[in-house]
Amino acid sequence: MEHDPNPSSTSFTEKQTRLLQLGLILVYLNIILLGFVLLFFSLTYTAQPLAELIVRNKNLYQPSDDSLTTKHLNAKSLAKELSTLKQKFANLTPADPYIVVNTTYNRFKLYKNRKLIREGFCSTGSYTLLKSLDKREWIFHTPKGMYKVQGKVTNPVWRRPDWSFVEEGLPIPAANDPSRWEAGVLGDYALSIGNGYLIHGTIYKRFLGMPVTHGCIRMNDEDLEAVFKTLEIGSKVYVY
Amino acid sequence: MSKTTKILVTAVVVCIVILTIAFTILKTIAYQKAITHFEVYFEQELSKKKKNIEIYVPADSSTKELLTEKAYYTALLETTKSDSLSLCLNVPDSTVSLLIKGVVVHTAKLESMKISPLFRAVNPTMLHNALMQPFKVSKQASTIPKMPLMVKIAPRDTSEYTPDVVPDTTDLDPVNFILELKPNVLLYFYEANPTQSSDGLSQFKFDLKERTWTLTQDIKRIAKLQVPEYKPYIRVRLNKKDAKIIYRALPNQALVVIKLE
Repeated sequence: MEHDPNPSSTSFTEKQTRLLQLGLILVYLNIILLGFVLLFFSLTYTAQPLAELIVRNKNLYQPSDDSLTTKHLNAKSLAKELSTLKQKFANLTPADPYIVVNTTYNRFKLYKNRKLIREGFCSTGSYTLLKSLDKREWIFHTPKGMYKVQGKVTNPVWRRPDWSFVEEGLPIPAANDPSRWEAGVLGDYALSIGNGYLIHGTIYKRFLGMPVTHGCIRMNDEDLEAVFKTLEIGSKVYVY
Repeated sequence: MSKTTKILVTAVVVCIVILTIAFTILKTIAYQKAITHFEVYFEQELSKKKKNIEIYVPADSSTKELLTEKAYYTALLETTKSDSLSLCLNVPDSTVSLLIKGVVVHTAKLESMKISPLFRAVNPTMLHNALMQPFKVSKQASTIPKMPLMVKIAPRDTSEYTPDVVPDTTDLDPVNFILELKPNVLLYFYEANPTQSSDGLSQFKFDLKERTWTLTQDIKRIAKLQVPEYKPYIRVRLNKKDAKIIYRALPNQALVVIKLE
C-alpha cells in the first residue's frame, strides 16, 4: 500500500488552481474595495472634524482695508439703539386684524390686537398645471407673500374665467356671455386680495384642509363669516 | 490569512491612514482659509455698502448679549426690504421662523442642532458685523419638490371631463433639505425622528449624496493643486411638518437671519 508522505497536502487540478487564483483575486479586490469605502468614510466623517479641532480661535479683529471706517460701541449707546430696533420690529406686526394662511397644510389663523382669535382649515391652490389643446397654460397655486384686502362683497357671484371652461372641456364663451356668471358657489362673502384672488366660501366643504382650489382661499361658512367681519379693507393677508 | 493578503490589508490600512492625514492637513488649511474668507467677505460687503465696522471690546457677557440682540434685530429689519418670505434661525431659542415683512407667520422648535466651530473661530467683531445683515440663499437641494406640480391636460369635450378626485395629502415623502447661503454657509434641515425606516434610510442617502458631492469637489480641487473648500454649516433637526412648511414657503433667493449665542 502506497503511503502519502504529507497527509495535509492536497493536489489540485489545473482547473482548481485557476479557480483558487480567481478566488484570491476576488478577495484582493474586495479588500481594495472595502479600503475605498473605509477611505471615503474616513475622509468625509473624520477629516473635517479633526481639522476643526486643530484650528484655534483668532485674535482681535484688525481691519485689513484702511478705507474702512470703524464705529466704537459702548454699552449705554448699545442698549439705547437696541431698544429702538426692538420697538421698530415689534411695530411691524399689525395691531389691526390680519390673517395668516398656511398653503402647505391648508390652515388659517386670524389675529386681532396681535392675539390669535380664530384658526381653522381652508383650501388653497392645488398646484395643478392645466394645459389646453391650444397650448395655453395655467398654474393653480396661491401666491405667497403679503397682500391687503382690497374689496369685500356679500353674496358674491362668480365670473367664470377661461380656464374654468377649458378644464371641463367646454367651449370658451364671449367675455360677457351670461354662462360665465354663477351665483351661490362662492358662499355668502368674498374678500378680494388682488390679481383676481379671493377669500371665499365653498360648496365643496369635504375638501377643506386640502390643496384643491385654483388659487383662491376657500373657507367654511362660519370661518368665512368671522374673517369677513373681522378684516377691513386694507387688512393684511399673509400667505406662506 | 495568506502572506499576500496580509500585505494587501496592511497596504490598504496604511494608505487610508496616510490619505486621511494628508486630507486632514488640507482641510485644516481650508478651514483656516474659510475663516479668513468669511471675515474678508463681510469686510468687503461693508466697504461696498459704505457702512461702518462696529468694533467693541467684549468687556462682559451682558455687552456681548446686547450685541447679539442688536445684530439680530438689525438683520430682521433688513429682511423687511424684501417682499418675499424670510427665514430666521434663532440658535439660543432653538427655533426657526418664517417671516413676511417682519411679521412672524410660522415658528418651529428645533429638536437638535450642530454648529460649525468656524462661527466661534471667526473674530467676534467681524461675526457681529456679519450677522447684522441677512444671508442670501444661493442654492437649495431637497428630497421633496418645491412646487408639487401636477400636469393636467384639458379634455377635448365634456365627455372626456372627469371631476377632480380627492388629492392625496398623506405625508409619505421624507423631508430633508439644504440651503446654501452666500458666502458658502450651509444650512442643513433634517427631519427629526423619522417615523418610518425608509425615511431614516432616505435621510442617510441624502446626507451621503451631499458628502460624496463635497468630497468629489475637494478631490477635483486637489487634482488642480488647490486647497479643498471648507464651508461653515449649521445642521438642525426639526419636525417633518415644519420642515416641509419651511422648504415650500421659502423663495429661491430667500433672506436668512442667523442669531448665534
